[in-house]
Amino acid sequence: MKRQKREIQLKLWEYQKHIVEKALNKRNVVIVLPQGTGKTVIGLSLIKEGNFKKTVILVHRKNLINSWIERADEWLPRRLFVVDATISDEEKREIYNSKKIVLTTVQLFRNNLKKCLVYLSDFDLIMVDECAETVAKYSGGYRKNIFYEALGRAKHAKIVGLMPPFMRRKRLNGVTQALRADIISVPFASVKDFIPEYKTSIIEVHDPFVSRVDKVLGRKIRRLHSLVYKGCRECGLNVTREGIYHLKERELDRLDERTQKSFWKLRNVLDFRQKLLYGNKMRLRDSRLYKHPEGREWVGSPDKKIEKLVELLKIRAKDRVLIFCKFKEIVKHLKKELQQSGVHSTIITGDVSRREKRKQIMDRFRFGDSYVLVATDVLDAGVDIPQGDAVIHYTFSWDSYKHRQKNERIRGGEQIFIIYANSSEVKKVESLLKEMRRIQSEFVVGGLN
Amino acid sequence: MRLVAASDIHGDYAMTRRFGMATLGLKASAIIIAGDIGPKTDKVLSYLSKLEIPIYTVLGNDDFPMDVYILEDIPYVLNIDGKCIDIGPVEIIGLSGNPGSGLAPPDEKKMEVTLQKAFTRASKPVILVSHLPPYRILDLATRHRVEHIGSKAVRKVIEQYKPILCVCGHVHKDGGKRAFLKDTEIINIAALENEKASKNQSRRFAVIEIDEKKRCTSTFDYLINTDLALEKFIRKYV
Repeated sequence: MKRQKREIQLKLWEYQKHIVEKALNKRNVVIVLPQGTGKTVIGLSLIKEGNFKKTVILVHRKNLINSWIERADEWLPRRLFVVDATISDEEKREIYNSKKIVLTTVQLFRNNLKKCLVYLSDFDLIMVDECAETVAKYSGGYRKNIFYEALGRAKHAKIVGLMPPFMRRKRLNGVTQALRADIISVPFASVKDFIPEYKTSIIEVHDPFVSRVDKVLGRKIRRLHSLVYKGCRECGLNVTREGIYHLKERELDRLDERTQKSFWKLRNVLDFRQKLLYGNKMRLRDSRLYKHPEGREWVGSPDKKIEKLVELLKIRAKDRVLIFCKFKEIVKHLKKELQQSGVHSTIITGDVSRREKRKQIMDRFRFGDSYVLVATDVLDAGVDIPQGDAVIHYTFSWDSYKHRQKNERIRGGEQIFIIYANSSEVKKVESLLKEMRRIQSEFVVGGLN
Repeated sequence: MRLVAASDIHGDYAMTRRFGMATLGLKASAIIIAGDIGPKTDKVLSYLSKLEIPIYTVLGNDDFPMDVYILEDIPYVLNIDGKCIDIGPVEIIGLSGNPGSGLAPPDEKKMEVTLQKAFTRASKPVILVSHLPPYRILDLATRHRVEHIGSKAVRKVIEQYKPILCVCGHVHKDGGKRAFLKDTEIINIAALENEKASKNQSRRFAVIEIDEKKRCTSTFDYLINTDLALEKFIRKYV
């Protein structure tokens, strides 16, 4: 396994110099480079060499601010200033007026523009980190709307987007169109060593009860899905099959009553399946399943998935393992269960909002006595944990781009799925891995440029 | 002490009978009904009064204001709207959900005054029985429009006085769920009626246990046939 060690060096690699030069010559650009190839460093040296009057760096999550500050200490010492929600409006206004380089989240920047604490015309460089998450449909439209509200009128400024590759070409084009920018990248061969390899392990847990219930639920979901899809078409709503799961309020208002009912039923069944596959069993005590004798027996029995996870963690006691879950609630439940089984773990969710506290948790996991870190999606971008040995996907997203983002926190190692055998999860994992292989081969063959 | 609570009966006599049988089996010492009893209010409550245990009732938005006279006439039935009733270890405060209004928004000021008066009289831990859930908690309605239809007055009073439990109904979609507001547990028990349109949101009631230390534990129960095979059961009820 090839793993490139990152050393603190205040010198750009050849390909990085090449990219900085190209980016300075063009107007709006999207820099597409894999994880670990130094996108942040490229961004900082672009600011340094471009002699821009005023620059704003926009990130989509608070924890990305940390990684920028760490790099900026090396490249632009004492020149980067952070605007976050903890400071008052007056302080924000002062920083925006007096400082040359400002780092903030896109949500906060939009709000500050609305409050007239800052004016878009002041900036001549706008850098958008993880721009795929900010401008594309990934964020469920939320961040996309914020982005257009914030930067829709930024016609005078140079916009630079930073993002990793490994997404479908169509989506990539969507990002570049939104930013009105050209793609800058390098041939695959020059960054080949930076792309980590992952060993994939799928651990199947046998639970006949789950298989039986999941099968019935799957049929129910398919039926309801087709009803909603048909209803949407009849009402003139143009949505994809995937988009059915994420219909918004204003879209629902356009549907007839029958389709709306089917949609809410579908949501209920999906919620239930979620609880069945990886939720807290105790919460199923309120459901109808608990009334059935077999259901009651299953809810009362220990969770086989967690048992398997504990077994795995005990075997790999000296490895640093990162566990990803979809919801905060599952993270907390998992911590409690692991604690009871004698496995010590730390958690990180959106609730840990203080920057120092987050850094403390991350440092403890990187270098200290904490070997298991359970996290939600807050950790899927902007955090480097090269010390990590494995990523366990206790729950996983369908999106191969987001999944890859999570894997790449540890820069190579092992990705482990814990799933129920003979359940809908098996197909999901297979299709996800297939999609990842397909996209990777597309880039290997076609190069990054 | 064991209480059973139901809401949104909507005149379903068949379900009321089954609920009565279940109450007998559970040996409950009182029944709580959180509104929307009509259209057959007298028939439903007369049947339940045969159990000869107190029935603490509030009215819902689908009931008529004149129904309060029906409640007065039936033995064992007590209208607890705006009252603070001592039932032993705890006290119960009730709040009707704007009877006769249909889907019109409730009069929040009037409701707040009523609740404030009742809570100032309380000396023991309180169970609040309100037809309307607190605003933004288990109150997302989807039937006519997607919006939060809870009561701001109820939320304000819960935040101020911190009752141990809040029993509510009204929003069928959020029935069978529990949430917490500060230290107060909120359960939405809608609906007891057998809704054909949304079978998985109906036939529900709650069992509330109050121990000697005045702690409340609540569980949801369902009037469903559990003798079916698992696959059929899931297909029919989940």
